[in-house]
Amino acid sequence: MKLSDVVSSMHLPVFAELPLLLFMGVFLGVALHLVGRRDELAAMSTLPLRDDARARSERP
Amino acid sequence: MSTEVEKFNYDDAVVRKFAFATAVWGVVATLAGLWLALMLVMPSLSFGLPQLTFGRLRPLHTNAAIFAFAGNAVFAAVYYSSQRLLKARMFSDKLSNFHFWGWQAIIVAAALTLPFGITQSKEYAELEWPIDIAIAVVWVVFAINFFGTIARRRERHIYVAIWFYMATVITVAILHIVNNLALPVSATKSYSLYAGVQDAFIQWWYGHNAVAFFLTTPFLGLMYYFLPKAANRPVFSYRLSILHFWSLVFIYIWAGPHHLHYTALPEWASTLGMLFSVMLWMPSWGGMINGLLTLRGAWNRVSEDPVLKFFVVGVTFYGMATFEGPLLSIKSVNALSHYTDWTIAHVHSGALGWNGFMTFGMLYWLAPRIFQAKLWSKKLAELHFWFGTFGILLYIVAIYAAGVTQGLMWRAFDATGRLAYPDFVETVVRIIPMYWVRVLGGSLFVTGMVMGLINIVMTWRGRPQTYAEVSDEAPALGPYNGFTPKLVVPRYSQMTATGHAFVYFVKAQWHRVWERNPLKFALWAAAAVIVASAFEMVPTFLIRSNVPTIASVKPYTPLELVGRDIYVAEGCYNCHSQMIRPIRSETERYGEYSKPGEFIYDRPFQWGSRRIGPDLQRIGGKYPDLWHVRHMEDPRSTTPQSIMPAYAWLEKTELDFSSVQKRVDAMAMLGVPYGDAVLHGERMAHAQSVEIAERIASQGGPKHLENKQIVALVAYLQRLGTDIKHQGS
Repeated sequence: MKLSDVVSSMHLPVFAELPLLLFMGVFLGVALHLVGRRDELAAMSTLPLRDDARARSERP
Repeated sequence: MSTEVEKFNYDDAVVRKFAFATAVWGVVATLAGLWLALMLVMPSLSFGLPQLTFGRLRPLHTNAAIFAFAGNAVFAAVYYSSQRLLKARMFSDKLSNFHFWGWQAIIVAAALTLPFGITQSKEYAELEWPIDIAIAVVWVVFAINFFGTIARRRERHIYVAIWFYMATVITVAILHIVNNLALPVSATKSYSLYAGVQDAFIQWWYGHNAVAFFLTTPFLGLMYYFLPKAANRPVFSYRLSILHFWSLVFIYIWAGPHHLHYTALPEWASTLGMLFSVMLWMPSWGGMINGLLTLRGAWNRVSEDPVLKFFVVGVTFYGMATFEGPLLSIKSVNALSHYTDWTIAHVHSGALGWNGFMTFGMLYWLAPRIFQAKLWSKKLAELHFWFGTFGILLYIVAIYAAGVTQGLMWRAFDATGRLAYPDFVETVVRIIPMYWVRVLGGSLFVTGMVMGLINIVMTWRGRPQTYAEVSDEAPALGPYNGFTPKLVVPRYSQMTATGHAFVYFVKAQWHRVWERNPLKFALWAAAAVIVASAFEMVPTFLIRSNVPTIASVKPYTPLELVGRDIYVAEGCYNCHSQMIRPIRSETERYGEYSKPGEFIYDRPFQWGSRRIGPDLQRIGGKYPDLWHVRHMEDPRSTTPQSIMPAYAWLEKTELDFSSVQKRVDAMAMLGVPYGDAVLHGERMAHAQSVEIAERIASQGGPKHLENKQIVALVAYLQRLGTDIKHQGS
């Protein structure tokens, strides 16, 4: 018996819908997780500008 | 924990090389595009040369635009921003140089093989197996260099731009390897490991995600670094950027099947692709808004700064293309748009508008810094911006109009219920004026690209005699001593265990740990991509009802197989589909709709994605052999208004019978039941070619064609779609 025989006989009608729910769940999870990290995230967002700030402070 | 401050230099030499290559290849790619646009209105521009036909040159244009122009831009962005964001020089200068020269060698190899018909004929994956292996090697070197730099970083937090780069490095490797698995027949020819429906599925899983992970995620990384730098403001919402990242990683990978609506692909896969594509609209627009709002308080500078102008238009095009993408993925819209120029307009608004404008915004920002000289001409940069903007607008508006016109004409019926435009060429003639406007728009865009190149070269010429080392300093990264991610949610007596678990998840530090641990982060991103792919691939490959076999469908004869390989080499799929959708206007025009079981011996599949000429799925037996010979000799002799180039050399070029057996054997190895042909392939091919040549001569055509390529091509074309046509299905 081949793997395709096994999978073909499994009747997987929900196979296509399952990932949709799974990934929606992950999306909501990440969204919820981001609530309440304002200060920490504000600090991270300045990372690209830090070398500019340093360059300015070093300028005579 | 070490607090000792370390001094280090950045490697900007490799950034300079990639920036230069970007500007040069950008001109080459767009010039090739302009030449192709001209060929649509002046087909004689191929000058009767095989290397200059539309079918062979179009892949050169697309590959140059994606991998040479956009690819080099991505690498310039990655090498410049990663070093600064990670506070570390690249892991190895030698690997950086190997990456640069290796990538340029691959581009040159593409330019030397595609015009000679050496192609796999999979869109954006046309390059043959030796070049594919070279791409894999160079990509792995890039990955080692990139992840090595992350490992040696001095900045604990990994900024969101690096996340986007990481997703790119991992996913492109997976996509490239899986889609290009093939069995070599010779150094210049291979057969895909997948056939028909499965090959189409894998190809568009790759094709769509090449757009996602080669043309979107790295450019978003570019946006999240260079836009705040140019605006001198932090990104509007870092929170939104995190959401943007994970949403794209989780959703994009599913969307590929929307390229195959109403084809022989299983309906469930097509629907899944549509749903995820529609879901993509939300995070994409979140990203666009995040980009544009980063300019809050700096809008007054946009009018005087060409860099910001390029970025604003680039991000706006990102929003436009990512709104249009989900729209086109909706089946009812796709029924109208698919195979028309609408798709071409969509692709160009993304590639020229989003990728092109973001690239030039970055190059103009980078040039003074990496060449350590003032930008040669701000005025020329402004002029480039306006030429580019008007060029792209003219171009895409004309092509949108052409696409909608085509789509509506193909499906139009008259009052008696017959096709209003039964002759396909009527729909071609109608859009010729729009093709001319496209040429005009393209010319403006190319002119802008040339201005950009001149400006970059002249800025480089103003460089100092020796470049000053760009140095920085930062404390070495010791063991993490800050907040330890432990359970921080107090247990309240009234809270249930489930409630507690939920609050823990919401407040948990798991993501913060990932952000500091690149290995874990990369593994989770890879897992998201692999799991999503598996959910679509496993059923497509293993559920038999997805591709029901048809008893009357037999393997191609050895001569037909060689003819098919000529069809592939000439890039016929660039203009002709082989997929009749189950839509009345299509079955009326072309015949019985295509069935999944008809393609089980098609390696690679030839469904195409565009109809500049008619569908060929049921062309077999429609015309006598001589018609095909005359049509290839001079398409205008059979269809006066045709815009197809002539293929007269097919009557003169010898057919390589010595390769027939190798081709048959390779197909047999892949499971094609060839029977006697495994032993007598060459003899069988000879016999069939003599038979066809005699028929052509008896119909009044040229004599003694039995050893010429045209006979094999005629054999293949006459076979197309006949397996079930003769059954009366």
